[in-house]
Amino acid sequence: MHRKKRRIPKSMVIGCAFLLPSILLYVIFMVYPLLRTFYLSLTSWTGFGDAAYIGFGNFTVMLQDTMFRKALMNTLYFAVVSGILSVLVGIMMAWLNLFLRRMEGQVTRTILFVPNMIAPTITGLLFMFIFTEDIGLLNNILKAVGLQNLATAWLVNSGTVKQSVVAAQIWRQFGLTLILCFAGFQGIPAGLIESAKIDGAGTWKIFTRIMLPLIKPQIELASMFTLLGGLKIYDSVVSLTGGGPARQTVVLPMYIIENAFTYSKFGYASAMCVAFIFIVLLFIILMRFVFRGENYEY
Amino acid sequence: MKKKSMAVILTAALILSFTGCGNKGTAESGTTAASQEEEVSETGKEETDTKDDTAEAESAGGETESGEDKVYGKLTISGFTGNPDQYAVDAAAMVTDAHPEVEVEYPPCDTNTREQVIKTAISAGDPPTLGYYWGTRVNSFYDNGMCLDLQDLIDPELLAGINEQMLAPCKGENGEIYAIPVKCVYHTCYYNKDLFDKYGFEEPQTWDELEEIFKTLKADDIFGFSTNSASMQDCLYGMTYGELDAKVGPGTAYGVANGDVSVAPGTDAGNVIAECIEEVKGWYDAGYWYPGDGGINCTPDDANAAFAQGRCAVIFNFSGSLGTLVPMCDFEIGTFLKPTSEASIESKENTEPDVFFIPSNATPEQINTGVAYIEAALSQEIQQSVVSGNQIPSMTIYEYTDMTPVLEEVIDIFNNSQIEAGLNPTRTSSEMQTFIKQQIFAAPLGGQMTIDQTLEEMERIRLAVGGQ
Repeated sequence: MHRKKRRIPKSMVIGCAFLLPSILLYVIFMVYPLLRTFYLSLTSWTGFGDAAYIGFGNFTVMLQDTMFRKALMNTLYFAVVSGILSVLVGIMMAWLNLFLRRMEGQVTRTILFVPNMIAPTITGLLFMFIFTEDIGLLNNILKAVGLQNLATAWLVNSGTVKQSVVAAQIWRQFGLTLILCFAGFQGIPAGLIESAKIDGAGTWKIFTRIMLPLIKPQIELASMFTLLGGLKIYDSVVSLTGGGPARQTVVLPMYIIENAFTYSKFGYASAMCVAFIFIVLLFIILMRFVFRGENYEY
Repeated sequence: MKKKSMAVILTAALILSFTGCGNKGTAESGTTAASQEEEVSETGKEETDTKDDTAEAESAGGETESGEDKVYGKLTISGFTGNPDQYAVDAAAMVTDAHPEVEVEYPPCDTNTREQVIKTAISAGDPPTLGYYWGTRVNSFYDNGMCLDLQDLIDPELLAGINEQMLAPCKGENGEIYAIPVKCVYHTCYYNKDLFDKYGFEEPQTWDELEEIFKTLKADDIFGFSTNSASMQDCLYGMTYGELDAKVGPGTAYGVANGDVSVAPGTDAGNVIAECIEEVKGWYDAGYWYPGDGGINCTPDDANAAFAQGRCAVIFNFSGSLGTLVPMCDFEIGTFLKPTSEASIESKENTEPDVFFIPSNATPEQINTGVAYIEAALSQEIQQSVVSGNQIPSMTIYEYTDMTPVLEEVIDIFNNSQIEAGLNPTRTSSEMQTFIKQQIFAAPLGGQMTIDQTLEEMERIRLAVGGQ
């Protein structure tokens, strides 16, 4: 009995052909560097000459490296704290935006989204001018309103430097949450809100019990973007504190680059990259767990 | 049908642009390889892979005798923090006057990223024509095989005229010359002479005398001193050199910088360094350090501005900053070496030659251009330009004119035995450099580490280098 040859549909061939350039780009710029990083993490390489295979030696050193732990903790701190606060501020601003008229709302949303479009390095430089002790804007404002006892070296004191970085991150990040959540709020049928009002629900209860649950997908998306963006923090820290004072605000991307390009330890830097990849994957899984549960449809 | 055609055209355009970029790179490599082959064929050798470039480039540079045969490429000098000094621009102008086809470029970097920028370019196979770096720390390049041996490329007469102390750190174990110093700096204290005269202060010889000056000034809301502490705490660390040699033994400061002497808490050297940190902590806590809490992370611009504006009386800085300070200050500037804990202890300071090196993977054109630049920088005209910029020249065989009084004073101090090359532990390793420049005072003064923890960290880094 003859088997019928399964012919590949012509449309599939054409589709694959059109996908080929993108796949090639993806392989060359994503897959190959990733595989090379995994390989380099098992070697000792100065960036010049041959790489010597050392097995898991880099990972052993990494587990004992206090600076690695410090940089990782700083990265997680900045990502989680600024992420949570950015989302909260974004949601509040989106909600407040609902009370504005159409034109005013558009202008306000545009202005509030501008920080998100500014390069992180510029944000860092901007906030450096704000937080500098001697000529900084914040200290001068505090002195002008009679609160000079609160003026301090924000970027130098161990009690305020991390918070200063978080403040700069929040300013830069909340715009995305604002736009996403505002779009979500706009999608909520007016009838639901009216029904709630008729049933006697106040503004705050409507916001917390009806509107927020209904925009859960948008909140999840904003949280994901903000957190993952926060984990990549580098430019802001370099321009704002340079990792100081006394390397107190060094973040993992900074430490990786330092090991690779200053200390010429490409193998060790690659090992830290591999570890970071798994930490980020863990975070994604954690976020999926936090946001599990049903989404409401209307 | 229309959509299909558009899709095909767009896809083809994408593929062509992608392969076009690849072909451009290949073409450039091919051109480079071809020109290398031309150069090499003059010497009768075979072209091989990039690992042999160094030897081939050296042969091409060394054996070609006629200037007309040499091909010159772009002059890219990486390592200047901020705008290049006038002497560097003048030297580049000499090269471009002689070889108009040469273009000049100075990729920007700052003190913190200088090493990173240069190493990245070399590692990526796109080296600058010249690296510009600190002479006592250029070993972080030549230990990784990144520097070309220049002894057969530079005019021997010029090499013989270089200050031996400045050249010493640039030499390899077997006499190779990996970098050429053009000028040098050392850490010093500049002070506002007008302010000192007003208060009747003498140049302090001891820590107590310096502290008295700071205390008197603080009563009048003037900070005692400023310094670039964001990236140059090794300037303050220089207070330990004389103390280490006097209290532990001659050569101890050099031994610490070499990584041979333990600095762990409780050791002799560790105790001396701890004493110094305690002294500086006292100044910080008393509010003598501009601008107060911010002193731990003060930038060079802030520190220089504070000194120029009379908000502080003394600035711990490097001698090369004189070129920046003189135009900024409307008062007379004086200089003294760092005071010591006791009058009987001789102050010592580290000298830091500023050197140029040619990366070992530079092309023959880059080598020719680099050598031309270095020889221009060592010429009488450019060395005079160094002096005119209030900096210490490296060539000892020329007569210099129009030297400012403060530069004469600086050179006098430099020429005495209190200034040595190699005392700064930043040359131990890149990691030690980061620690000494950014953490050694900031960490204990800011409360991030105790003094003992600071010494433990310094010891850990020292041992990490020893274990490699």
